[in-house]
Amino acid sequence: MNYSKIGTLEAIGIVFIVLCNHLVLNMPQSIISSTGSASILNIAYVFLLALLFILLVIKLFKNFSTYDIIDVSEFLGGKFLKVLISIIILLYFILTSSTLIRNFSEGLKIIYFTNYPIYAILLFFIVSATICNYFGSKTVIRANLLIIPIIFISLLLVFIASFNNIIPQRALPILGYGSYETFIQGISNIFSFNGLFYLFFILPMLDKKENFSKISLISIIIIGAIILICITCLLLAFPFITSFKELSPLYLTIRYTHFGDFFQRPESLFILTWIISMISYISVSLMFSIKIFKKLTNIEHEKYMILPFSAILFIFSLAPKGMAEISFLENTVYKWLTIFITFVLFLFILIFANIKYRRKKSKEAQT
Amino acid sequence: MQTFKKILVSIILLLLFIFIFTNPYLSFHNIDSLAYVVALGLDVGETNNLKLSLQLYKPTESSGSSSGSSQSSNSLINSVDCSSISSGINLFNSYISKQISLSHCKVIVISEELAKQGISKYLYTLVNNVQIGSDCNIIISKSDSYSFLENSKPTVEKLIARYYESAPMSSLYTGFTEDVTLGDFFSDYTDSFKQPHAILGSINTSQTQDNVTSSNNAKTNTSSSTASITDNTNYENDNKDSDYIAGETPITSENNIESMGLAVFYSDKLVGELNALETLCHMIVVNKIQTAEIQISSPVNLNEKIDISLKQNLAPKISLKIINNTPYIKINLNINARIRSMDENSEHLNEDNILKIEESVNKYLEENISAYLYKTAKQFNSDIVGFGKYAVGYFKTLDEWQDYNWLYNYRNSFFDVTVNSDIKSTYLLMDN
Repeated sequence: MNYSKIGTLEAIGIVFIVLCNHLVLNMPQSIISSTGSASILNIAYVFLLALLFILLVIKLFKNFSTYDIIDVSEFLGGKFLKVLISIIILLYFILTSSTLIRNFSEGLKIIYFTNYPIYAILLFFIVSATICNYFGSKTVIRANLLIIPIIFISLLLVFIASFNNIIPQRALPILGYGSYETFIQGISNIFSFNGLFYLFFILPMLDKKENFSKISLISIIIIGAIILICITCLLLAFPFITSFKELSPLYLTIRYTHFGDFFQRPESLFILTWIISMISYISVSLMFSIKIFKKLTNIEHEKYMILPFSAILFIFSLAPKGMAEISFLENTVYKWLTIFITFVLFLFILIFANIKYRRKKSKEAQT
Repeated sequence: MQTFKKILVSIILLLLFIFIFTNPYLSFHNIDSLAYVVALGLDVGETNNLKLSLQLYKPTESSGSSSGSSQSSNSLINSVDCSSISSGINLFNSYISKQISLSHCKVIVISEELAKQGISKYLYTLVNNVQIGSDCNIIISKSDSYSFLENSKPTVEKLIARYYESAPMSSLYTGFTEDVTLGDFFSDYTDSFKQPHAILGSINTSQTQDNVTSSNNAKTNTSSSTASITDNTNYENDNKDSDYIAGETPITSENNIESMGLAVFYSDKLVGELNALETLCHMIVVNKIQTAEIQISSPVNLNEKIDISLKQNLAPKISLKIINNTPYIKINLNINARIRSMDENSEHLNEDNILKIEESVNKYLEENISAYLYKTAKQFNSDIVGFGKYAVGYFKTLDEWQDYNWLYNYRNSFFDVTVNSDIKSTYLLMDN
């Protein structure tokens, strides 16, 4: 496959941008509402599970060091499985990106662009991502890497500013809704490590394949640390986070945080960084969708697919009728789809592919 | 391919610019089409559910000609009877032919009468509003909110918004009120271990000042009932200067507004008021005070009063035990004090006298803080300090915590207040 090669930092940047965008929207709310005051404990627990998962994935990818998950599927089940998995992944990319962009646009519409039609806000993101993709995947990935420090600083500022409101006792009762809800049902919060999904595709893109394990481990530690800090700040600083579904918990955090008398309304500055982050995320998502489509259909010029995919993304993002549907897609469909695809389907494909690989090797050894 | 790319990008950028700069939606929000609200008042309506009052910036004719003139712009107060805040604003939009903007709203004034009925629906509406900032102060007015806004005449400020912004700041050096914002109020309201409270305000008139006597009588009754609970019968009745509640301070002024004391809520309903001294005690317990002044009877010369300046040395140490389902709360306070009073016979810095004064300060604060705490527990059943956070550790799950119902059980609390004061010195003049 003809990929532009990327380095360790660029690969981590891709995982980071996915996390950031979900963090700004519903993800923290979803975690806190399911586990209550035990959210910090739950995230620490889920982090350990995700770490075990990624260690297993690194081990399973050892025999397929130049493959991504679609190549592994082809190895396991031939063309049929390759096509099936590619379609599932494509649908996942389109569905998640379109829901996320719509959710974010609805938020922007409510906060700043009350009189703007939603399609205009959506078009702003999609057109920007389309232009970005026309400059090639290297541009997308490097632009993303440039944006990461800005987003990181913006998130860090939010967390630091909310320290004044922190009451540690808000993490009590320690077991939240109960031990079953925290440790058994709470496993579903592993969906928050959704950035790991992209790790299944970056292996062929890496300039140094041996860095895959390093990238995976650094990525999961960064994801775990940021989610933990975010959940800690939100849970300990604002009691209403557990009782209500907000448009964006992080936005509310900024609104309810005092940044001194000079900066009385700094929300717009943060939202600007989140808009840039969203454009970058959509660009990355579009890039991956096109790459997978190219792999699926063996088309020669992927650039011709940018506009059709942008149009599909636009149509899909217009599909939900309102916030109720978007919320359902984000909190239920996306959550369970991520768990099923990233943590079950891909894992099983890798396990069975490894079994097949070993059998093949032993057969070759016998003959 | 390169040329095609450039043409495509140029066309898209051009279309975007045309879309942004020619869109009629954008011109809708320019500054000339907006009317800025500086304060919002809520009252019980006469012909409808709610009486909404808005204090709007009214630019002077000369505004724009010089920078100074805009500073002295007047405000305009209007009210409307309506069914909700949103519909009231809509009626205003129609009346003043400009779109009301709440993005510069500095204060929300709610009348005592409305607060007693419950303000949850208004609170949620305000929090749900994108324009209103969380740093907007909440004042519960003893008079109707329209009159409150009408009588808000800044004496040492030219700009009304700046006046509203700076008014609650006095809490830092007096402790007679607290800087309570919409964000704080909403946070306390939604908290499972705290109850909300707000700034208490009123119009200070000669009539309201006359109420001091009756208010003091009522307080004596309260004190005696609390004393029977605590077995603390020795009350200091010499805190006249801090016994006032908003509107009662005997100041010679022309019907101006005054913020003093706190309005105490149980959930979304107003259940009581704290006077200046009780508010000072509250501020000490929640560690929100920079410095404060108290006046005690001198233990050296019984006819003399000493003014003491207080500063909290350390954050209060609070511990809570639940014994037989009853909360037992221990509060340990460390106070640094300096003597402000001075006359030609003063011998305050004598070692024996220092000990005596320290003891008096300790006793004064212990008695007043206990009285304040028992008042919040027994009379109001409202944990405005947030002692619940020390109780929540005794429960393993949220169900157990909710079953215990801290906010209801707070009424059963017992308090043990210990104050350790440390007289540091006097000020510029030492002893004789």
